[in-house]
Amino acid sequence: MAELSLQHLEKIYDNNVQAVFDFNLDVKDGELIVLVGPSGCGKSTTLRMVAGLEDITHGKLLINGKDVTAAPAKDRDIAMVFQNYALYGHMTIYENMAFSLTLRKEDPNLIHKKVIAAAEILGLMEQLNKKPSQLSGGQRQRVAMGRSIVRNPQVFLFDEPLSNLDAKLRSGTRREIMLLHKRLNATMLYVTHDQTEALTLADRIVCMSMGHVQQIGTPLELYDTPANLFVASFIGLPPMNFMDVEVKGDKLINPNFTLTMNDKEAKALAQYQGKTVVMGVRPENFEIGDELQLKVINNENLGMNTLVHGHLGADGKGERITTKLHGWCDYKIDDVVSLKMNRKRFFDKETTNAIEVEV
Amino acid sequence: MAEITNTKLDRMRYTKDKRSSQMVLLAIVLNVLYYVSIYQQDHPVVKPISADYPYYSWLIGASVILNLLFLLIGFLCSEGVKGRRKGYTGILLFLGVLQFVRIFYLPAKAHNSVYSETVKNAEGVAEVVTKKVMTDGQYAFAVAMLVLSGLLCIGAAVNSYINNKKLADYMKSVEA
Repeated sequence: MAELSLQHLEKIYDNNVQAVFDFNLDVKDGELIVLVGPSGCGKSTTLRMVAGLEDITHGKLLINGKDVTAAPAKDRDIAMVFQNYALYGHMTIYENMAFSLTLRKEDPNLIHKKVIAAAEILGLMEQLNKKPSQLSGGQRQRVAMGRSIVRNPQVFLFDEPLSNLDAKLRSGTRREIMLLHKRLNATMLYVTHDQTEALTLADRIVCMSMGHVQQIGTPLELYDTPANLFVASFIGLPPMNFMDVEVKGDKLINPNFTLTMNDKEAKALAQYQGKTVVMGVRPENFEIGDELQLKVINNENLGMNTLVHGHLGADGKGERITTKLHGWCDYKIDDVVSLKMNRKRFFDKETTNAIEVEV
Repeated sequence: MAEITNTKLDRMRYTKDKRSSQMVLLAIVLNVLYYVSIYQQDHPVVKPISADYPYYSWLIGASVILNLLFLLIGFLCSEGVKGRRKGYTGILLFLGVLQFVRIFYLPAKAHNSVYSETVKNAEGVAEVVTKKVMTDGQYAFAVAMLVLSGLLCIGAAVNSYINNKKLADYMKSVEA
């Protein structure tokens, strides 16, 4: 396997549209990095640059310390799994998996051993004589992964591999990818716009927006200490709630509530006295209490939890808020619920960067 | 999964019998070469057409049909043996034998037929000369094509049969 180093990568297309800005990342051997972000944020472009399918406009790409910036895709020893599987419909599963090795004119007996080993890992032994059209979406994606495994590449690239699957298959295949990563201990770059995939799979997540890297960190870091408003809003489901609060003395004042800051919050927000900052609270960080009131507009029971949507204030004229309350709740429209917040984040309203508060 | 005791045989479970298939395809190509050569005449149109003239009879239609059938069945057999289906080996054997039998029909009949031509000899006297409808060279080419085509069909059938037998025995040992 391999270490990967992306140094100041930039991609500018012929029409002068810049898709990726100054992308820096060092991937350790055996690490699974997930590039996450909304559509058009440059994550797939970055992956394609690593694969050699897109030219790198500026910057350097090193694999195991070797500069492969200008190397053609075939010389990079990288395998890529695509969203649409890219299987050959007229070939059997066995032939699809063996195809790249056959092209390299490897010994047929060796190819056979590699294909059988990969098929066993992926549970495809019974499917080897079938055609791709006879398999389900999840099985086809496993074949696509198998085709990568047999090559034993230095780096695996996954470009939204689960996007074509339904919810049930997606979670099953996600678990398989996780197990595969553990079993192969391979270096992997994985692109998705699904933050659940990112949080469950990644050793580290790269969160991107508009071609810029917003934050690189472990899933917990991105969830718990988002670097800015974008990351805070993108990571977490339902997304984080944001409320404008004015810092005045030891108080945080919103038209619908007033909170008293603790010492750590007061210290962190000292330089914002008299200014408005954005307070972020995750839906799961609300509980029944007496800090603010929420006028209910919708109540969704999920079994263990209830999503309660509403507007701040007893009159329902404040910010739109979503809370995730423990247990089964039966709030009706226009009910007023009293809540408190047990974890808050703060963001600079102008720069949108997080304001660090000691925990 | 059972341990792979013989990789070469185990591979046959998932790979196609390309060799047999390609032999049949080559047999088809040789048959086409035979067929495009068989109606060639190096002499002017024979007049009058003699009763035993081999070409312009019902035979010409039958030979067209026979060749079309050979192409069709040959191609089906090629695909069949590629997929290691046992039933096609018998049909291939039949096709191979048929190619040999055909030698004694149209090419041989044409080769044995003669036509008469009146030519003036050195003294300027008209003389009737007898010539073969199919020249020796053309006949040899047609026969060679049919023989090779037949051999390839039989060879493909034998190869396919041996491979299928080996695979069946291997599968028995794996399942045992």
